[in-house]
Amino acid sequence: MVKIRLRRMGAKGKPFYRVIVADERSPRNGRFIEELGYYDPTKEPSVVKIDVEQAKKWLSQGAQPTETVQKLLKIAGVQ
Amino acid sequence: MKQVYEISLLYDFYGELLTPSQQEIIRMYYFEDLSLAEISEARGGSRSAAHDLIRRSVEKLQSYEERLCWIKRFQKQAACMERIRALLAEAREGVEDPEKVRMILNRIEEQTEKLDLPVDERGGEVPDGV
Repeated sequence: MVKIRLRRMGAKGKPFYRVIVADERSPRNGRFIEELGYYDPTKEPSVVKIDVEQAKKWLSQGAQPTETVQKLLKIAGVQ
Repeated sequence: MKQVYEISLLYDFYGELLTPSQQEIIRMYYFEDLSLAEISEARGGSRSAAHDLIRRSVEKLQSYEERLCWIKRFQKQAACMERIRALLAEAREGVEDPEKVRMILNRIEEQTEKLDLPVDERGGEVPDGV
C-alpha cells in the first residue's frame, strides 16, 4: 500500500515537514515516490502548501494519508 | 499539528537527555509519522508498549522544559533579534536624519536589555546555599 506521510526536515530549532508519498513497506529507508508539499510551523501563521491536484490523484488511487497528513489535507482544501 | 512542532522543538533541545530507545521512538512517531502498528512491528513489542514509551518520553521532555525553559528563552531571543534586525534596516534607510537614527538606537538598546531579563519569575532567584 502507498502512504502519504509527513517527514521532518530542517535544522535544530527550525523544523519543517515535507508531505511525501511513500511505499508502506519501506517506511524507514528515506526513499519516497513524490513530494506533495510542505508544512512550515515556524512561520506566523504557519504555512501549509500542498499540490491539491496531485494529492487528489494519489487519494483516488488508494493512497492512505496518516492522521496528521489528513489534518493538513483538510487545511489545504483537499478533503 | 501544533503538537508535532512542539515535540520537535522539545526533542531538538532536550533529546540527547533521553535514552537511545526513547530518542528512536520519538523520531519514528513524530519525525517519520509512523503509526503505532508500524512502530511496534519495527521495534518488536505491542502497540500499547509503544504508546506508553512515547507518552513517557514526551513527559520527560516536557519536564525538562518546565524546569529549564530553554525553548522559551530561545524563542524570546529569536523575537528580539528579529526586532533588532528590523530596526537596523530602518536605521539604514533613515541615515540622513540623525534624530531618527538616535531614536532607533534607543529602541535597539531597549531590545538588548530585554534579552537580559529572566524568562520567568524563578529566573531571578538564587536558591539558598548557592
